[in-house]
Amino acid sequence: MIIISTPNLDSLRNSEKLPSELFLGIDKSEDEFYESIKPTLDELKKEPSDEVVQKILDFSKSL
Amino acid sequence: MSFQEMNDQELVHLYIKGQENALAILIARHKSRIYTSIYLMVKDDYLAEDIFQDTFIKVIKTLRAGKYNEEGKFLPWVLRIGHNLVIDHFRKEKRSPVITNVDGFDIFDVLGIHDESMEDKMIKEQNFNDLKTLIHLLPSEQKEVLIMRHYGDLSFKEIADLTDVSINTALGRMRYALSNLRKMITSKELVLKS
Repeated sequence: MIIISTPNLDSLRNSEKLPSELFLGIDKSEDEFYESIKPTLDELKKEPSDEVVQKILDFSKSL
Repeated sequence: MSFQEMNDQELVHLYIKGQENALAILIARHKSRIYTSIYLMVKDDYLAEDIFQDTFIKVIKTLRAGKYNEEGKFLPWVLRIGHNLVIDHFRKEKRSPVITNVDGFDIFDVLGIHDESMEDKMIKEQNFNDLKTLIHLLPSEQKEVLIMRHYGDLSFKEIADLTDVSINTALGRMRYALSNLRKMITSKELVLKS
């Protein structure tokens, strides 16, 4: 099995949410890349059908 | 205060007390994040809908049984349930290989294990512009972190807790995911939709 090796980011361990420029501080270009693809990533968002949502609500009411 | 103005914890409390509309608001508020996260893992609309439904059935049963941990946030909790159901599905199907990464790992080393016909199509078309397919080519742990970070809007601490790894590992996987996506895009001279 291949073992992952991670960057040393102990100083950021306790942060609840990390600004992208901090967690990617070792390579700021990756942060910039992430910002550049965010609009395209957002386009991939999908919605469940109304039908499945209604099934869930109906299930709850049936209890 | 209207239901729309209430936070998730307030809505959960109302639902437990019998207010069905509170559940409808919670679902409406988070359905896109939850469904997208599931869909990008399983890559199939029908299966994603099944798992989405099963996720909320578990949510409802847990809330009704009074077993919800009020100290936790609602969305990460639901995403964890969905994530576990996706894992259960793949275990049953015995389909999804689990690939971990290593420093200097080249994403193109793993392309050979994926559908060769899909790779041929990408090469033939020469101008592939669907980021979704590139995400699917990532090792599963990297894809998982990217999906939870971007679509689930989870903190790295929440991602680490959900996937039972350290925060450093979760951070590293996100870094590798972005690095590998960029390699694929630049090396194949791909153009993303604007």
